[in-house]
Amino acid sequence: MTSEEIRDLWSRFLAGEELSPEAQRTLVDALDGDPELRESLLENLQLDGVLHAMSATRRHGEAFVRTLTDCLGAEHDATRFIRKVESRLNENPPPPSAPPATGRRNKSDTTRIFRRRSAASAPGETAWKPALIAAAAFIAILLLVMSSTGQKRPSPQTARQVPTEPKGPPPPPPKSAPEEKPISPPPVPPAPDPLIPQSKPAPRDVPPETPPKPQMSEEERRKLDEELKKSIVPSRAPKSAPVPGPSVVATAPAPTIVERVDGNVYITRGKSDKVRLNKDDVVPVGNTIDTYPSNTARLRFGDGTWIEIGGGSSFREIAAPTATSGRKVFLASGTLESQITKQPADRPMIFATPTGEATILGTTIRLTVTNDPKPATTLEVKEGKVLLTRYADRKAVEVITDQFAVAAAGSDLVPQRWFDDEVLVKFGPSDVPLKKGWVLDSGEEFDPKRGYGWKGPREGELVPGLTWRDGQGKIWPKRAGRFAARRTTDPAADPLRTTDIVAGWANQSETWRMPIPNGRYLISVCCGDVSYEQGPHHVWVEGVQIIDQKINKAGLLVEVLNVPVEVKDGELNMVVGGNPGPKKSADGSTDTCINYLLIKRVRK
Amino acid sequence: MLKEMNVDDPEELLEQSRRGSTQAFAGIVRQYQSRVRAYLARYVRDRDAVEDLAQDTFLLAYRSLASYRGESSLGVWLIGIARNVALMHVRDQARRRVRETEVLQAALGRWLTDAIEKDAARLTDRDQTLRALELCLQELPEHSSALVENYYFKGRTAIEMAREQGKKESAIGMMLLRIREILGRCIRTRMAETGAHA
Repeated sequence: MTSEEIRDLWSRFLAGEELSPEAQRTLVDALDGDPELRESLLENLQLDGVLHAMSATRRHGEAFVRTLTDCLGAEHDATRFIRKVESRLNENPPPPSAPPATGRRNKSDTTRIFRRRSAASAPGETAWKPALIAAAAFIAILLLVMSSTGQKRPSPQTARQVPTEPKGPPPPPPKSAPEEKPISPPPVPPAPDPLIPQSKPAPRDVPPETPPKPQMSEEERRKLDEELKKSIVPSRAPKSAPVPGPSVVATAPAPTIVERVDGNVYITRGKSDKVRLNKDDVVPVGNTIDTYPSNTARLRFGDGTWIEIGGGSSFREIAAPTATSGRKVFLASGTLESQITKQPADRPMIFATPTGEATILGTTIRLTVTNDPKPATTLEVKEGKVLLTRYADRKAVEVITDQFAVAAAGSDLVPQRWFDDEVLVKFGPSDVPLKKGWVLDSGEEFDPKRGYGWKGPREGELVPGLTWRDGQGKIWPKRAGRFAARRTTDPAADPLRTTDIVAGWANQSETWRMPIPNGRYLISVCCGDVSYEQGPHHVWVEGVQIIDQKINKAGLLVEVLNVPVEVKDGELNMVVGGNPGPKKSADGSTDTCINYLLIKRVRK
Repeated sequence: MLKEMNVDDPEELLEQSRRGSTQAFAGIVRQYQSRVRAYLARYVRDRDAVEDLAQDTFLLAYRSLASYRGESSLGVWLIGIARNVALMHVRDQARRRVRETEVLQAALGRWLTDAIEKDAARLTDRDQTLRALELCLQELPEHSSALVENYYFKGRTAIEMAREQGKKESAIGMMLLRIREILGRCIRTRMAETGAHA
């Protein structure tokens, strides 16, 4: 294995790629055998870590300080609490009715203490104190133990992982102490915290003859109870995250769960820890999900909202909903579909992309991000009303049920008619009977309300120097433009194939357009005059030549099925006619007769 | 309290911290967290674990302030604690990486353990590495600088960047590796100029 191949494997490993066991072993063997290269690549890995660390400091350095300060504050609180308990204990010796000084309690003792505690408001009642003090001391000791062993609360990122065993004793001193530059001994193992006095066990032996002391008032007991509650704090605050305010804690949302994974889908935790995503995984906020082409995943949020991430997409949840703001997700590339549960009016859910954002209160949408030839966001609204904002100029447009819009710099941000996944455009006279899923085009100029049509008027300009001869031998000037034709009077004839639009007169080309969402489509086209030899027919869709100089014979049509094309500018364009060569049909014409155009969306 | 202190003066922050001021200790954390985190991140790949270990380092330091006698700089003392914390973590992780699918992680744990053990005599150098890196980043060519900024500081993934630039993810990974090699050479040069070792 060459050095370059090793470096390639190493770079893939550092970028978070999961190497196969064979590749891992090859890499390990190579690096074990070449200490110099290993040293170099380890340095590279270390710099990778340092750069990530610089970024972490920049992003949440202050939150880190706050978290740490809170931890220290909690320790101080625990210390103060223990001191207070000790102080109260000295001030209020246990009552004469307490058990004898055996150091152990039997069942009846416990029962008695509980009973007395529950009736603590009765005048002269004091027996709740030993139980409370014992509980307080136990909690305080527990806090200290947890604190000294570095036990952590599970973070959101590790919520589903099997809990690791508690850390062992603090790290031992280094094997070899620094010689050139002596330093103070690192504080391991740590001595007992000088700031936190060692807790003393609550006295269990109570002399029966001790005279009763003044009872703790209800108010005092309430305060002590409150302090007890306050003292139950984690020894470690959640790592690195800003300390949430009370309102956030109170409205902590349910986790986002992976409902379905279809194929290769990965989740990147942090920056580079990329692992395969599995069904039922919890997806923490900030983690990126990447789907391979044709592979998908479906997430469900706690409020019932679901998101289906399409193939070749990159998605992450930026912010969970809080008491003051709604959920925000980011689609960096690719496609998603979502059904959003009704959101609070003041906290809409936001779908952000590199070029815009959709603000949603509750609806069913499809969102697509494309970057070729320029970054664009396509929003389709199946149901509801969505505000789509374009970042480039902050222009916004409302997209309602059965509409879509494309947000891209330099493009019209206007709502368009919803595009079903499959549409057949039937070209022909205006009285052609239509079937479900068909739309009729009779050669009219484009109309935004209709949602499709031709560029330029139906009857175009005169074409200089060109004429045509009618049946009586009369010569007419030729015009650009289109006309509809019916090739048979048989009422039983299939209208799909017996009617058409004739376009592209005299080698002119005509363009038909239909705004549709960006994405991949399969195109089928049928051309020809079923009653007569016509052609050569020419059709391009989105720059892809579908029919190239084909001449149909009478009774036979030219039909090309399922040619893949990609729409990148929010509009499907079909160019017909424009015969480039000398090829002509039997009568010398060069028109293109188009019968139908079938547009099928590719979902993955 | 803190308003009366010179928050830039480590000595004063240290003195106040020893007297129990968590606010003063917060000032120390602000000043040194980048160096501690950077040191830990040299040996610990898991970003969340780095945050945990940084917390451990500072908590240990706070509880042991009495043992700090000022024979080395505060930064070097903190790096010394971080080194021990990292060593324990890496050893622990290496023991766990025994599965067939984690051959590389297991080997990495072994190599990094060796590297940390050798670090004992180089804590001062390690404390200076971050500053050298900051200077070297400023010397990167524009394109490389943008790549580093996007990947490390803006949180873009290699997949996203590859899509935007019409390249393969592996190509982005290789470009980043080469940039880090350049930075490594630059750091060594700068450290040599000051008599230190990268």
